[in-house]
Amino acid sequence: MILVNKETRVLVQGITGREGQFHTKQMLDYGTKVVAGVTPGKGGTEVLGVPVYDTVKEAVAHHAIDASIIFVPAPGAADAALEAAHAGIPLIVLITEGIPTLDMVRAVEEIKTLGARLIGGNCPGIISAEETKIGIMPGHVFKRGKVGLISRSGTLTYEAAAALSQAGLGTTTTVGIGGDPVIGTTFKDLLPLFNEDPETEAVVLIGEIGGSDEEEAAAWVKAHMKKPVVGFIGGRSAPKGKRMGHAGAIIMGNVGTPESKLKAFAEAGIPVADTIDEIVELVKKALG
Amino acid sequence: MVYNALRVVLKDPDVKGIFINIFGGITRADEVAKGVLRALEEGLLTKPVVMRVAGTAEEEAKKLLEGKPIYMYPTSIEAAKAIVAMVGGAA
Repeated sequence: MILVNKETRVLVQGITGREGQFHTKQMLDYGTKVVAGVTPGKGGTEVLGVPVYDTVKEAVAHHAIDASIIFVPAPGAADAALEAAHAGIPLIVLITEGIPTLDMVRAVEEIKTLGARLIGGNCPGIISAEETKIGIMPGHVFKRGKVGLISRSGTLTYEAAAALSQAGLGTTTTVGIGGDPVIGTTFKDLLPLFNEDPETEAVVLIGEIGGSDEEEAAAWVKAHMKKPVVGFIGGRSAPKGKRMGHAGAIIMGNVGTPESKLKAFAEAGIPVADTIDEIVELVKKALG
Repeated sequence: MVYNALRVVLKDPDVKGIFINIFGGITRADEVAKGVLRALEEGLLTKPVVMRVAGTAEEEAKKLLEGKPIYMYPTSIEAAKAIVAMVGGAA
């Protein structure tokens, strides 16, 4: 396991909203320690027995908090992440989709200088199987096992986790890093953590077209990784210049092509699966 | 949302069938099912609909669609093969 476990104490920013409330319930049902919530103007109320504060500063004054999950609507989402970082919360999971890219450029840098780790935005969050879920993924498809999973796609994460769980391999920690062009944490930031995690025996990287995060991850794997890595690239049939589902999933000129990513994976000795079922086969093969 | 998407897609006379594949996270499978049901009740679904639903609120979605004239498959691969066979495309 990396980043989070059943002891992790969680704050929910935007807890009184529709998604915030629904997923707070889902997280509590999963066993996540949700200790407080924040919605400006709703301080002093409760959601599902969880106390609500007006600001993150007030929440951290009353509770020890290890991580925050943000459901704040897009116009205020980057500010919400900055508020969490300024209040000293070390891990911030930003679920919101559609955050202006320029807001993220500013927030990602500032959060980094404050020493906090930002996951997302536009991501499904983090789950350490059968321990804690700080995210929106369907928890029941993640069985505890030995594979670390990092993904730019929400749905492909669930598909892969379900397939790995059904095959009896299971997952340790799964991190959905998000589908936006500017995100807080990329593959290469998480690979060192999985490399040192005794429970994780192999890592699955689910990338997609757009950007160069997969290429950078491949270079890191080639230089440092001690464990087998299996890859998958989404959007391989997408036409150039056409945005496919995610804001970050776009081929611009020669940057972000599936060919470039496949070549980088091949050079790093990372086998690439063509289907979800093949991910399972390749992990089994890698683990002997 | 799903209802509106179905209306737009069904305006295209070249559409021979509809494939809906959902593994819900933030998207709730029961809300997808409700959109399909509304289109069905309004008589919009004149073409075969093949669905695979999983994830958040999967059970609620399956209950809503039980006994309805929708082709349901447990995996995306099986569902994809079924719709291809129905519309007469190359598998």
